[in-house]
Amino acid sequence: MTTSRHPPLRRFITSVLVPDRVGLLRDITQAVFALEGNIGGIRQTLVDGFFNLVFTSEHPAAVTPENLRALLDAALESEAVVTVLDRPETPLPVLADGARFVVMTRGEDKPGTILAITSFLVARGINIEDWMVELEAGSVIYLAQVTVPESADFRQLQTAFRQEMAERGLNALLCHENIFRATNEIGPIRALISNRVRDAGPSEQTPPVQNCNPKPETCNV
Amino acid sequence: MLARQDVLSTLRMVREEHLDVRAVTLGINLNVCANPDPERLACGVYERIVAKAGPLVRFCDEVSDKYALPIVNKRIAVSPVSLLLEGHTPETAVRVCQALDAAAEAVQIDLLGGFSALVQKGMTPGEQTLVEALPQALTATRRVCSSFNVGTTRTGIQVDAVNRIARKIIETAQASRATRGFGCAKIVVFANMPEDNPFMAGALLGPGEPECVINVGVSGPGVVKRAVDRLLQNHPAASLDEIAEEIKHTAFRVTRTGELIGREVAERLGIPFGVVDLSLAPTPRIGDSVGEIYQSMGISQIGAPGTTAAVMLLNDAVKKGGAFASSSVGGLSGAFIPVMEDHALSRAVTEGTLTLEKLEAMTAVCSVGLDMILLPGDTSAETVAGIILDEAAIGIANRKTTGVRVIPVPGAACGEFVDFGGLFGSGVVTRPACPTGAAAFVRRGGRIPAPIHSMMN
Repeated sequence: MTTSRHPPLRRFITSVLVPDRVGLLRDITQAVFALEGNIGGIRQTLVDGFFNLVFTSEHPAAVTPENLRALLDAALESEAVVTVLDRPETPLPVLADGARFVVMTRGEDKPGTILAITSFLVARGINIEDWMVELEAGSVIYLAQVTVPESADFRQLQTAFRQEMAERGLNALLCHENIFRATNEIGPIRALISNRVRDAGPSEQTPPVQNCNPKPETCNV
Repeated sequence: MLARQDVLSTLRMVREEHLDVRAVTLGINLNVCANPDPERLACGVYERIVAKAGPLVRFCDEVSDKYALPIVNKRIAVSPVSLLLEGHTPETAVRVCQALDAAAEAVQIDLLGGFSALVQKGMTPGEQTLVEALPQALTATRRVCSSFNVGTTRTGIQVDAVNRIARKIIETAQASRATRGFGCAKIVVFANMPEDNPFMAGALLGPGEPECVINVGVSGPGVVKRAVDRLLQNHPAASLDEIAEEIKHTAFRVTRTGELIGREVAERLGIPFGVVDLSLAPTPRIGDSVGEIYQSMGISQIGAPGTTAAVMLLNDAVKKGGAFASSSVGGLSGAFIPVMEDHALSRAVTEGTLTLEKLEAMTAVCSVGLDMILLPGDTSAETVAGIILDEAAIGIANRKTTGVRVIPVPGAACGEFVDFGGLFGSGVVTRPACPTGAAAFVRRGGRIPAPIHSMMN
């Protein structure tokens, strides 16, 4: 990704939704390249046979969103849905400070499940960053990567989530993302552990004990 | 962004394979508590443990919630109490043991290790005091565990200490007759004892350790068993090397999990992280058994020829996976075979397929040794000493840790069923094929010299 080229550049964010076929990404990037664009962030997924792409690109100042959309419309099938927005700046993170967790539910596929999960998360200020679905032995597994506000009480959150989902017949849990990194990466574990782990020294938490000195007989051992 | 398959495979371990952390053990050095006044000594011990370990359980629970992973046992290991007992009487030793017990209760810990002495080259008066107090100390307390190191590859075996401890094991069994000799379930006699072992009953904080430290024991055998089962379900004809590979990969992941949890707890406590102990520690629960892993591999009758090879395969694969996963591997790091605590092993002993002699052979290729074995009530101190000497010899000659935790059950005969309940499990009384005949050898005392390969420099 290039951000310091001259003269000044225009930055677009583009989404494409179209039935999948071989060559889609090549055709799209060809259109971007034709407008002297440089692609930055990009994410492509397939959902039930539909190709879905979101990307950002930088172009010479003379290029407009309409130019790019016209080229993409020409390159793609008629039913393609293309949106190009002018976005000069990267938005700030929704949560400036938070811990990254994975949310998982598993159970029967029935209407309202995603609504229940997302409603629970939204009510606690949790931002969903990614959502995946997996079918397994007749059950649907929903996986979401989320950012939880630093102020959250993880115990209360874990308990409430499990209880609320259990009422809907779902097996559910929240896991901090470090467990997935620890079990799948080979870097040192110490690098995963945040410096922001609460630093409560033992002395602050010590249960009250009787003073043994100078009168040892007062010790209630 | 996390990869979908990585997330799914880890979640499968958490949800279906009961991935956990078996033990988070806080090591505390108590040497600063030394005091010629018995009451001040006992109070100092209590206060120091409560001060250092006060938030341990809460921090473990917080970390457990954060990762949706159970931390099964939170424990404490203290520096050898014998170091505090120089110039004191056995009564003081009992008093200190009670202070340890009270401190463990105050911080909600079920077991505390370190009522211990390292006597591989001889015994000081303080160490003799601790050994002398053993029967009374362990019957007057519930949570305190005791351990001894009677030999190392560098020093040989201190037979006088073995004899003295063996006699006290018999006395402890008698003193805890009301609980069928349960006091002995809290005594382990080691050779080549590790100083950073987080598992009970042998946990202690060795003299070379920091003032306080967190050591961690990885997930139990259930997660390895399910990995092997899954492999064999998908590839029924899988070879032993393929099974070893699967165990290795699983060990990598459980070790990483253990280190992650341990480091987070240590950071919250503001103390260093020590080691991850790779040992697979079973519980009496079905699905949490080392013996079941052997059965999954194809050893349908545990104790049959091939069992020792299965133990070696498992132990080696766990070590290889764990060694790649972490640079902080320590403790015992092997596959435990505690008979009473493992329902599959216990059943094999009951059915007669697994004998004490076969168990002894298995201990040559795994840790820790003859563990949680019920002996008849009429077992002599010389027989217990002989068992300890044999195990110590295996450890010393093979440069590895071995240990003995046997329970002579007062009044019980071979074949009698005994149930300690909880994590300590149940089983039937067994005995060596030839229980007598070595008394004259054992009584000679002295020291068995270090093997020639002890001279490594």
